[in-house]
Amino acid sequence: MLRSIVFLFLTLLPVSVTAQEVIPLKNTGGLHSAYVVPRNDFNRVDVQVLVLSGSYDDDQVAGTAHFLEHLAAFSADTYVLRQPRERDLFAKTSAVATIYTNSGHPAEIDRLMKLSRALLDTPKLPEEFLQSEKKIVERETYLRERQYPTRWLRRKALQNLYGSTRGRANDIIADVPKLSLEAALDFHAQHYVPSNVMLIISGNIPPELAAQKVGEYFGDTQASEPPEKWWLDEKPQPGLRKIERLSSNRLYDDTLVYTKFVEYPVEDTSIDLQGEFFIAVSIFESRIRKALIFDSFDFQSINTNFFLAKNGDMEMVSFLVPMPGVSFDTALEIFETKIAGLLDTPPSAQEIETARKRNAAHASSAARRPDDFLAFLENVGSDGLPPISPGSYASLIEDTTDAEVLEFLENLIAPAPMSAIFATKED
Amino acid sequence: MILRFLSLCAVTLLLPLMARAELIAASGDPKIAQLNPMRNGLSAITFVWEMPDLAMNRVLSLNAGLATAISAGTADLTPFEAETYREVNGISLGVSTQDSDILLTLTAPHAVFADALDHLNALLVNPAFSKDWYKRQTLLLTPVKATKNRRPDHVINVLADYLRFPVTDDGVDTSDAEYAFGMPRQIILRTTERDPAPLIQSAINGLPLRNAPVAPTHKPDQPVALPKGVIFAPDPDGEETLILAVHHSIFDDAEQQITANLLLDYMGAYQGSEMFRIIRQEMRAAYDPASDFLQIARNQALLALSATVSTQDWPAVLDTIRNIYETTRAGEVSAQGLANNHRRLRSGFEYRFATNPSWTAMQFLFEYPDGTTSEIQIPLFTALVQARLETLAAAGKDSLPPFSDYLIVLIGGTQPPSVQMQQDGYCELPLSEPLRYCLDQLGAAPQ
Repeated sequence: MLRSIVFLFLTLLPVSVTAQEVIPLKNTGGLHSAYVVPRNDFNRVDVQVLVLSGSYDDDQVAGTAHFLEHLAAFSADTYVLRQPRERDLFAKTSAVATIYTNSGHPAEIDRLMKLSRALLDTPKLPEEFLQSEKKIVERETYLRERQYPTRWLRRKALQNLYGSTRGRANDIIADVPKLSLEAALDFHAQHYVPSNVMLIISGNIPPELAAQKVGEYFGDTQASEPPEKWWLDEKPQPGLRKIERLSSNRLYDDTLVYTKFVEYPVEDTSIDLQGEFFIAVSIFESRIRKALIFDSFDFQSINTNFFLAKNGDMEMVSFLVPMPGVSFDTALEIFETKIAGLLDTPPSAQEIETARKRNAAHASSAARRPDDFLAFLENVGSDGLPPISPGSYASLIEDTTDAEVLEFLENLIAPAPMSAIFATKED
Repeated sequence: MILRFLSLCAVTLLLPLMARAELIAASGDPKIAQLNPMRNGLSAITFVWEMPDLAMNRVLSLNAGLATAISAGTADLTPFEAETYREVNGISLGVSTQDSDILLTLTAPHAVFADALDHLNALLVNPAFSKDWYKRQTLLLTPVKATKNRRPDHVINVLADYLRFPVTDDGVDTSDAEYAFGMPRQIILRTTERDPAPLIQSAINGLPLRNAPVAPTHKPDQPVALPKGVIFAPDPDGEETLILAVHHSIFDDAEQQITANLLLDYMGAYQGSEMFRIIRQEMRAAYDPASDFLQIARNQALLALSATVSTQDWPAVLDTIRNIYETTRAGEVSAQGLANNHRRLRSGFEYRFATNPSWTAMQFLFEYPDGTTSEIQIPLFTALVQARLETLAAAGKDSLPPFSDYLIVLIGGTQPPSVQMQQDGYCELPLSEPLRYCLDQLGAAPQ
């Protein structure tokens, strides 16, 4: 009864998942840092350039870092595609970093390094193209706004949390018409400096060759003063509790957005908190899901994002969809009550161990997919901290004590500045 | 025969517990196909059940029912414990539909695959069915209106659902439905295990059979056609108009389908495409101009070209899309561009075949909807590998319909199509209505 497909494919594909050591490189010129993460189960090399500034660093006009991402990427490539392209540009602007990824066959390493190095040069493209790229950013911004309502719901909640439209919050739609080429090039001059750039080379490349190529293409760069992270000093008012109601026909469901700001003490950077962060967040999410999804039926869904900044500030943003008939006020009360009582029964050693295993399984899964693997490296690296690979992640979470996890959780559920949006769907 | 024997024993034990639930099960032994192992350290199994009713409301209900059944826990594990077990072991479950079947695919690392199959079996034989959970799943699966998110891929999927399930509602109240899932009619396996029979046996052990096969109702006799014409959903609150040109194509064979796929990719897939080059980089009119090729059945696909533009620009951009389409269809393509697309389509197929068991199961079922006991061949894969690029461009007119046969969907903005455009059929879509409102009005759906 059993039959097999004898197939012509399957020549260049991964065979197994291997551990991935993160090796810091020396002789990197003025770069903030550079790393190589060898793995030979994918026959490719990825060069990630992490400019350690993102949308939070837009101090005047929101969207400037994103506009520059477009300009730098196309400048490093070609602006009108006279010949069919064999590769796509992969670039993205996150809250704290702008990330460019050049990928290819190991034999193409020189081309990938040239494209990466070119990002540090002032964008050189015809003036008309540079100016008109604003239209593309405008189109993209409106498009995302329509396609993903959580973007603007989150933005409104953060504006209320920080009492600001700059830095950790923004007002991107109001600012789109104000985008300017001059501001984008100024941003490049300030932020695309070697001391604000991290390089991660991963894939099928010997560490010695990666070190040689970094020296060859970035060895001439000079260290300089990196830009200040001014937004790290802007925090919510203590005791803030703000709730806003709105309605929109762009929403798919009635949605409660809940944001909270928690400060964790750190000695130097939040790198010391990474292990307890990942484990504690896993326990938090698991317990909330058990309470709100498995043990009761007042909610359709709950999704929570956490952002831990390098100074120990943590932003939590939850999106909750109540079941029909459950009011926003009731939903908020249930959610906050569950959070407040989350540690009434402290997590046992077994529950913490389960959270470790859950994280380990997640890391193993990420290692199987190239895109997820790169996202894993970017996650901690975006804060200028040494990147963590799925392979090195295992030892990180094993080295974290139960007491550290519990302390992190206690801080997470303690009263803190919050803002909520009650967003009603219109048909 | 041993499979059948064990299954029948279990029927006797379980039927009294399932008296109120609708049993979704085959009436005989499952057909089993073992495909090449995946190349990402994972094993997978797909259970295939025939859906008893293909009215859209019944399909959604059944999807919610299967999602509920696999969330119910086991005799030994509560639902929460069962989810935790899957999370810490890297086990995932996914539900999809294909033609008139509903599919459940489990993936797990090789090392825990045998345990995962025991777990799958324990989930399915557990008769608990939570009404609250079903209600929640029903809400989560309620389709989002195309006028809400305006994502091209979402609109295309809505159209694909319309073609597969043209009857929107058969009038049956599904709010109190309850399901049990028994013996699948097909099983598709991806594992490195040389002798998978014990694995399969553990997965189906105790699953009940139906007494007799039941043909699905509300299944279209003939492939449904999309109408020609224009659908316009005006919205004064918005700066953007989504343009989507779409056609339901039925191909003579796999070679013709691959030709159409490659030419459509040449028009709009990736940043090397004509749409990207002209509409984004030269006209500066859209961020996301793209083409999509969505196979929905054997030798059938939805062909789509889309862009989201400033509302006053849509007529000019639609003209440009038409020009790109007709020029490519007429054979004006660069050899290098076509070679790039062929390489990328092939590597995309390879990657999905090696890592995505649901996609591979779908390809298998396209070719063998009733299973097979003979050697498995997927002509589409062969046609892709053997495509002759030097002659492919000249086959555009045989493989692609003229642009005038496309349905045009416009969502957002206030600028309506011209009177001339409306001559082939026109429907104005209120924002509060689903896309089917206009599809039905344009006369495509058999009722």
